[in-house]
Amino acid sequence: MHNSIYKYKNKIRWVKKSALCAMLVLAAFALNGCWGSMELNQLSIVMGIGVDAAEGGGYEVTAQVVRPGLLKQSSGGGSGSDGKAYFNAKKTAPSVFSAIRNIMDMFSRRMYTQQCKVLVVGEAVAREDMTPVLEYFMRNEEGRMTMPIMIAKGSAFRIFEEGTYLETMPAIQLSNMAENQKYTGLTSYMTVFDFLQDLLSEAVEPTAPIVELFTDEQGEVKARIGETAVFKGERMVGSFSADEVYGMLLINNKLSTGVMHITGLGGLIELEIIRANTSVRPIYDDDGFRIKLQVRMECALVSTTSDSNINEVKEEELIGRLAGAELENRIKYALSAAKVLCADVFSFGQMCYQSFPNEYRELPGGWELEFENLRIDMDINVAITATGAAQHPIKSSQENKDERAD
Amino acid sequence: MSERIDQVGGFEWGMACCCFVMGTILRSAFIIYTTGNESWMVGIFGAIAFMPMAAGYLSLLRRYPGMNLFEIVSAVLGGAVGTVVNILFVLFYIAVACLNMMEIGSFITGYLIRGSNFLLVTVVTGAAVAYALRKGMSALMRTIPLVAIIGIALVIFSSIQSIPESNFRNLMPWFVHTPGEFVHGTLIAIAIPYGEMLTMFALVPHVRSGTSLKKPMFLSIAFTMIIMVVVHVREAITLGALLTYTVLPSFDVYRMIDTASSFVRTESINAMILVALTYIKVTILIYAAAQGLAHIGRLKSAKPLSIITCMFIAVYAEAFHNTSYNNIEWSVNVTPLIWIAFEYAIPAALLLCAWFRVRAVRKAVTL
Repeated sequence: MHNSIYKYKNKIRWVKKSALCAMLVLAAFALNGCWGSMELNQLSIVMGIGVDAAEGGGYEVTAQVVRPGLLKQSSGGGSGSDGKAYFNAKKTAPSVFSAIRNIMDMFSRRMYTQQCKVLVVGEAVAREDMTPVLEYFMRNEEGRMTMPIMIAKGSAFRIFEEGTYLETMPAIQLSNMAENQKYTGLTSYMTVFDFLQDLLSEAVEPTAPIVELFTDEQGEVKARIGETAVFKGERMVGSFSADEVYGMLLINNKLSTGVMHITGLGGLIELEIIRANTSVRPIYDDDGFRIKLQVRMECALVSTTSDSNINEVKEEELIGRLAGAELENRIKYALSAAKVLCADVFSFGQMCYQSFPNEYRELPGGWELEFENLRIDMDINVAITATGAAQHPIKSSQENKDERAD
Repeated sequence: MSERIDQVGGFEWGMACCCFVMGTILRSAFIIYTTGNESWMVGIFGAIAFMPMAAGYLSLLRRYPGMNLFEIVSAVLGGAVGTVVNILFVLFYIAVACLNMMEIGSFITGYLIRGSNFLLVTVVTGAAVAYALRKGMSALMRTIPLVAIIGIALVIFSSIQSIPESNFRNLMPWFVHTPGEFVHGTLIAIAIPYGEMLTMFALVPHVRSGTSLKKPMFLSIAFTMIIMVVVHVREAITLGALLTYTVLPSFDVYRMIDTASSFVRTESINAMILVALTYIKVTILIYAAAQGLAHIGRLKSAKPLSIITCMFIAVYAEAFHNTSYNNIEWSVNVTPLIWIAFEYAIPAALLLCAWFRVRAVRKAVTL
C-alpha cells in the first residue's frame, strides 16, 4: 500500500517536473528573441530615406543603405559600385510604403529603418502634399520620429548621390549638418516629430531646412543647407532667406547662438550671441489680439573695425542699442515675410488660442486675417557681457600712433 | 477556503494596489481620447469620485474581515443568488484578464519582438502567471513593492528627461472640453484604472489578520492619482498636438527622449517595466477568477484551477485581439458602462444587503 502511494507520488512529481521543463523550453523559444529574430548580417540598415515625386504619379523613394564592410573606406559620392560605404536604392510606387517594400526586391536582406538618420523630401512632393509621406512615418512602429527632416531643392536622390567632406555617408553628413543648425542660427532644426506637431497644431505652420547642391572651389558638387522652406498646412508655399530665418528663430526662442554684424561707431562690429531668451505673451484688448515680444540677449564682442574705445561703458551701451535696433529690423523682416506668405510660423495663433480660446474662436475672418494685421510690441535689450582679451581695438591704437608721429 | 495562506502586511497590499493601477495608467490612451490635454484633471476627478466607493469597499471588508469577494457575496446573498452573482464576477474577471492579456500580447508582438506569434506570447505569459499562482500569491506580493518602486522611479526619471522636449503651453487651453466629456472621462477613469481595484479583494485573505486596510487603500489611491497626473501632464506637454493621434502616448514619450545624445532609446527599459506591471495585474486578475471558480466549485484551494484558468485566458485573449484603435474605442464607449455595474452597482447592493441583514439580526435579537 505504502509502495503504491510512493510510486504514485513519484509519478506525479515526475509529471510536474516534465511539465515545468516543457514550459521552460517553450519560454526559451519564445522569449529570447529567436522568434522573428533579425541578425545583423540579415539586415540592410537604412541610414537615409529620400522621397521624390515620380513621373506619371506616385513616389520615388531612395534608401541609402550602409555597406558595413566598407565603412572604414570613407569619402566620395556615387552609388556604391566603386568601394563606397553606402548604396542608394531607388524604387517607384504609388505610395511611400509600397516603394520602401519594393526596394527589398533589390536586396538579399530585409530593410531595417530603425537607424535612419535623415528624411529628405523632394521639393515637388513638398509643394504638392507632405501628408502621405508623414503618415507612413507616424504609423511605422519601427521608425523614429526624432530624425531630422529636410526639403531638397530639386531631387532628394541627387542629394544622396553627392559626396561628403568628412563623413562616410551623405545621410550621416546631412543628419550632422541638420544637428549643427542648432548652433549656427542659419536655419531651423526640424525633426519629423516637430514637423508633425506644427502641422497638427492650431494655427501653426511648419518649416523645414532646405538642402541644395553647390559646386565648391575644387569643382566638386556637395550638399549644403541654405534657406528654410515655409509651409501652409501640408504644402510648401515659399522659403525664408537666412536673414528672415534669423528673425524667426529669435521669435521662436530657438536662437541659442550665432553671429551679428552691426554698423556703427565708424566701423563694422561683430557680436557673438552667448545667450538669448525670447518670451512671447499674447494680449487681448478692445482692438483685438496683440503680441508682446520681449527679447533679452547677451553678446560678446568678437571683433571691430571701429576706432572708438569700445571697452568704455557708454560705448558698450551704444553697441547694445545698435544691436537691439538690428534685432528689431530682423524681427520685422521675418514678420513681413511670414505675412506675405500668410504663414504663421511663430506659433502666435496657437498661443492666442491657448490663452484666449473663446476670443480666438470668435475671430470674424479667422486667424489668417488676424495674423495679417497683428500688432507686435517689441521690448529688446542686448547687453555686451564680454569684450574678449583685448583692452582696445587695434584701429584705435594705430590712430593714436599716427597722431604721435605727427 | 481552508487552505493555509502565507500572510503579508498592509504595505504589500497597498503596493499591489498601486502596481495594479499603474499597469493601466501607463496605457492611458482611452482617457486621452476623450479629454486630450485635460486628462490630468480627469485623473484627479476620477480619484475623488472613486473615494466613496473605496469607502464602501472598506466597509464591506470591515464587516467581513479576512474574506475575499466571493465569500462576502455568499455570506451576504446566500446560496442561489450568491452563486449567480459569483458567476457574474468570475466572468467579469475573466473578461478583464483577457483584455489585459491581449494588451501584453499586442504590445510585445507590435513593439518589442515584432513578428512574434501572438498566441505563443500569451501562452508563455499564461504559463508564467500559472507558475506565480502555484508558488502562492504571498510570494508575488513580497516582490511587488520592488517592481512598484522601480516603476515609479522610471516614471519620475523619464518625466525629468522629457522636459527638454516639452512645452508647458501645450497644457492649455483649459476647460475647452464640454462638461459631458469631462464626465465621460471621469467615468472611464473610475471604471478602468480605479474601479478595477475591486480585484484586490482577492488578496485580502493574504493580509495578516487585524491589519487595517484603510490607510493602504487611500494612500494607494492618492499615490496613483499623483502618478496619473504626472503621466498625463508629461504626455500633454511632450506630444502636444500629436497626443490624440498616438495609440500609446506614454511609450511615444519615451521614444522622444534624447538627453545629451546619451540617454536615447530608453523605451526598451520602460517597456520592460510596463510589461512587468501588466503581468502583475493579469496575475491578480487570473487569481481572482480562479478563486471564484474554486469557491463556486467548493474547492479547498484555487491552485488546481490556476493552470487551466491561465491557459484558457491566454488562448481566449486571441478572440479579443483587435486593432489598437478598436481597443481604445471599446474602452471609451463600452467598457465604462459594463464595468461600473460590477465595480459599483453590485458592491453597493452588497453593502446595502449587508446593512439590512445586520439590522434584521439586531432586531431579531432585541425582540
